[in-house]
Amino acid sequence: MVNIVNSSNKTFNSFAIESMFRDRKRVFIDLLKWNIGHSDGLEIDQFDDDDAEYLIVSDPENKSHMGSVRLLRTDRPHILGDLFPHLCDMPIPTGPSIREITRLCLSPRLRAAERLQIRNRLATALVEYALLTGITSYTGVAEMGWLNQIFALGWRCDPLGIPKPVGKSLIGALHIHVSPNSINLLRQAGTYATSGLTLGRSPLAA
Amino acid sequence: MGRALLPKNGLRQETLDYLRVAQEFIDAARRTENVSDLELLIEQVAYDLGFDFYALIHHVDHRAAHRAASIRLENYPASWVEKFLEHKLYSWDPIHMASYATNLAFAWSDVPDMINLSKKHKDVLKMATREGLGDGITVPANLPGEANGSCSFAVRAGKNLPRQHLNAVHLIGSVAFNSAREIAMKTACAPSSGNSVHLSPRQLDCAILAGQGKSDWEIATILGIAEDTVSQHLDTARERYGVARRVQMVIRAVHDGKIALTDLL
Repeated sequence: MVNIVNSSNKTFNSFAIESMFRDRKRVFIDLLKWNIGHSDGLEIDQFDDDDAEYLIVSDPENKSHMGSVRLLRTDRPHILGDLFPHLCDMPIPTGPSIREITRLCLSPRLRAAERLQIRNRLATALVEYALLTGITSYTGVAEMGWLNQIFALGWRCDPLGIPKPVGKSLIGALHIHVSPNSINLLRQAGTYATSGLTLGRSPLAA
Repeated sequence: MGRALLPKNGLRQETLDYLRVAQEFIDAARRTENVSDLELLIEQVAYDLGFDFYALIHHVDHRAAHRAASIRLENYPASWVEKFLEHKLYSWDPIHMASYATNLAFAWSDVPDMINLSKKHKDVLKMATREGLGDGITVPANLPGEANGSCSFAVRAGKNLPRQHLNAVHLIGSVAFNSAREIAMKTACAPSSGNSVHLSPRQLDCAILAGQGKSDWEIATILGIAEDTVSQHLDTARERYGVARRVQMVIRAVHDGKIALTDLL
């Protein structure tokens, strides 16, 4: 199941959150060699504040992190607006109904088949979350090596600029539009996967 | 708004032009329902970007008749395509090989820096030049669980490659491949996961270890189960794929994304 974690239920989900920060360190720093900070084996940056929200898939048995994304408000400081504005060859889409997808992380412990499954569940959850909360689109900065996979998920995705080299990688800004038809698009692409995402459930009732 | 402030020429203006070409292509491709319309679009975008040829293909044997969901769109010189298929040159195509080594667009003239070329590889390139195919840019399209593919744009032999547009080509090539793939999937009426075989976690464990070259006894010892049970798991997995040999089963499991190549290395 995909859980929404934000400042209101963070303490209740502290294990899931910490397990996510630990995997983020393994993936982004140890595996992908991103030049970002970490402490005590956790990758946490300035955007992991009270306004950040997370969609997290946890192992149903041992509760450890399997995959997650971080959602940032675009009317506040965020990655595309503040760190990579030059990736946009047009005005940067921002506003209360636009979120930025960042730190998509799949646990390095997953096998190939599980990776696809968790990836699909997160994509489905992103669409459902947007539809449930009135989000109309997502922006995101992506390594272009992933571009084909991002397109192949089936959702409507537009580039915001010509990809540009940053360090050794080629990265680009993307804009993913969400509408009620997005679920159909995922189904047609064979990537729809029940997310079990629910909103408005208080931690105590869970 | 900000457009008036931008310089009329120079890189920034060019970037905007190529982004506009990419966007128009994406919008048009999204509305396309059939392969022949998409072919026209790709041909047009190839010319707009300064190329003479394109090829958008799944790297499978295209002479096999049952490949309903596989893609092959190209306008390469006919004599070259004939030779390529006839002599099964795809097995020795260094561009295909290089496209497995990266997920980013690359220029063909850079391939010698990416992979080691044998004489046979070089012969394929020479033959292509003789048939009128010059330098090109290939955008790899390697999706887990699917046949590898690529989208290439090329110029006539002797003409300079518009290499400065490599990154724009990456964008457009990815969109083109994905559009073609979506149309092919709809036509074949089978989403990529539709005909997939299910393996239990234990069968998968055994398949991975078998793929690493372990014997039944070794697998049994590692997993702490009986040797007979291992044989049974591997036989069942083999039967589910409907293949005669274990090695085929492992390859199928890699192909449909159940096993990553890195699991086996």
